[in-house]
Amino acid sequence: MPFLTQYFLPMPDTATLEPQQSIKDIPQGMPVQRINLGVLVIQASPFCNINCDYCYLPNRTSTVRMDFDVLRNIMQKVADSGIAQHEFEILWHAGEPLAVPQKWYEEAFEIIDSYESLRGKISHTVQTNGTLINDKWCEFFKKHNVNVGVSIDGPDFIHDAHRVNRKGEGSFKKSMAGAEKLKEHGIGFGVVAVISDKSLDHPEEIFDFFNNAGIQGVGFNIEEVEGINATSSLGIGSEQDKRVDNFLKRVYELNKSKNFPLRIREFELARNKIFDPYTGGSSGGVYFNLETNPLSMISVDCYGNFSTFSPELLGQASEKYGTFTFGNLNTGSIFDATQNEAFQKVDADVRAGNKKCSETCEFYAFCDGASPSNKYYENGSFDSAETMHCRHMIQAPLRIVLDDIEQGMGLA
Amino acid sequence: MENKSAKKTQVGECDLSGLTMNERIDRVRARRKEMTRELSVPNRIERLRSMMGLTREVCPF
Repeated sequence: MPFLTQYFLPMPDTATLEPQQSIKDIPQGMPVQRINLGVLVIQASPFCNINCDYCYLPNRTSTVRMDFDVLRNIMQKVADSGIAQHEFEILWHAGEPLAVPQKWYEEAFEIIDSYESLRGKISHTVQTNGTLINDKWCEFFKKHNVNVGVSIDGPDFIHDAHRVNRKGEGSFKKSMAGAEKLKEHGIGFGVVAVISDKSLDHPEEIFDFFNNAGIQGVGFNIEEVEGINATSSLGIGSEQDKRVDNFLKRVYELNKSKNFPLRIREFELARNKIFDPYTGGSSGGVYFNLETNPLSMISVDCYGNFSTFSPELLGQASEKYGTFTFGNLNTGSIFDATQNEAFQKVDADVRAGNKKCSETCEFYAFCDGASPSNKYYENGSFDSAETMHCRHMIQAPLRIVLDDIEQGMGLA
Repeated sequence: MENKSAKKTQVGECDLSGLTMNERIDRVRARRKEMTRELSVPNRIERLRSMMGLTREVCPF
């Protein structure tokens, strides 16, 4: 899961959702009361100006750009569907969003703003490698209140080990120049850092780097087996699990020793879950995971093809399921997807996999099921349970924070 | 008749009779830590919330 913002979304209040006319078309058994759009990922172009070796996105050399008629169709279908009942985020990603000219976004934002029923509900986020950020982009972000997430893996020797251009040259300097521009303009931003094998031996350097760089918050993503990234440098096995745990523990200790100056997504989330009496424990509440709930996250490519569940599924081919493209918003509605055989197969397996999670994992109520894309690419099926992502990004942070709180209270 | 003073020195299965106050506190702390290792993560969280008064009824959020 490469995105910074999705975890900070408020949990939708499902009790207040209005049943929509079109929801009656949804296959029997789908939890209709939970359909509520949280994130709409839009691919303005699949092109990326750099070539990170762990990237899961296909077609990154294609410079095709979304036609405005496609964008109009997307927004019209979202508005018609009635699933945007609360605030939702448009996340510009699935390619380097800033490789598309700013002029395109000026018009795109005007189009999006023209849908009255959606007005006031949308916040925009770009998830960027930062290399193209300049004064003009900063002015644009400020003018349109765009949230910015920058992908930086840590100091240069960590970052440049994977985040390279097509000549194999590191992108660190350019990404940091972009981050500096944001700071110059007073734009707060978050960072997503991919943790690969090399990172695990350098928790001190990584923590010091982010802490000294004046960054608001960082989210760690372990390098995952996903899409066309068929293997992870992290490997699998208990030894590697221990190394990742030790890395996270050390980062937590370092942050604690300085009185928590750095907001670290995984630990903040864990803390919030622990102190929120509406999730987990015997109180029976379950954390809401957008990825395991159909149509809560919708990803649309530059042609209008769309997918749901994990955004990493967009544009990926699958032997087992045929396709993860469930429809095209130029020709059909969002709910047409629910009649699609591929969707129904995926949805049934996601639900079966979630059931497995709920029956086998004590952390279930704190995550609402593992990310479907992680399950598929690691375990070969959505109908499966635990993944690397579960162990490293859900379970380990929850244990680390819980241990620390209990120690502070003399309970451990 | 029930021996009330003996009852007061029992914490779970731990007999605290004959111990000084500091020794008793140490025993209680040790038992709490032991319990932490025995509990599942959800139950540890529930215990923590309960100790802090964070129940659904009095939830400040």
